[in-house]
Amino acid sequence: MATFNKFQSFVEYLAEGVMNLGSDQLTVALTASANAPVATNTVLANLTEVSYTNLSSRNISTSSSSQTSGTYRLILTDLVLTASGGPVATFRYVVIYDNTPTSPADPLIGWYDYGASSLTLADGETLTINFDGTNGLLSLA
Amino acid sequence: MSNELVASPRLDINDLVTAISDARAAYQAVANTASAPEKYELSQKVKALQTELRERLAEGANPCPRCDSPAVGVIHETEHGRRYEVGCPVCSGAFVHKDGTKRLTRVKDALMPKHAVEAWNAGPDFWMVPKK
Repeated sequence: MATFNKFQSFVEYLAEGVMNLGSDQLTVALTASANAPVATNTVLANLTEVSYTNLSSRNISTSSSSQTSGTYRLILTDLVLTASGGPVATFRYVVIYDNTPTSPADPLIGWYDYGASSLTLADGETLTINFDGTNGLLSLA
Repeated sequence: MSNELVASPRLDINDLVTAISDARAAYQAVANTASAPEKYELSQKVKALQTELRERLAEGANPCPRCDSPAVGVIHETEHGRRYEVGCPVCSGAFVHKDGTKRLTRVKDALMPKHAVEAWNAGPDFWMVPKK
């Protein structure tokens, strides 16, 4: 399973009300092996994304953003990326960011590293990004 | 004038999914311009619908036997159609089941919500094994 990594600025953005994880539009961005995210990146503009030609929607559905017994959990619906009409550019990193705020624009949350072999989606192929279901993408305790 | 209370009709799952999408769109349309109280009110509408959906999907589910928290449900739109998950929103990570296997505190890939609930209620024998 791909490792999830947190951008350091995320916790500050959250604490200062930049993001509403329950209602904002969380979105996936893809970057190639040569353009690895680093923990000190803060916004989408810091990254070099691949071309999204032939790729289905990158928008994530938020299932739940709530606390139980004082532990908050962000639960996202798995996202299926599909190549249609041709292949999708090779990528290695799947970045999650908040597409709703404009100041700062597109603050970053975290990223998955799918490993050195990278991924290519040929026409008709899919990649399911598993956000770990009820276990949650992230928790705050 | 009648004082009779009229209950709102119960939305079915598809209607709830649509209502959530609409509520989120309404919030996002003004997220960068509305006042904090206005945004809060709109986001609370989203939250209420999300809560209703995850509780509806987990209707009939037993509390988590490990921590007693109410189970919640999730819809996944997969390449093979909609699939349902029921699990604990508190317990995280894998535990070692009595049969020696590692398990997660959830059931996934059910074709109907009631299938996910049934498998959840049947206990860890039917819960997910984590990917290696």
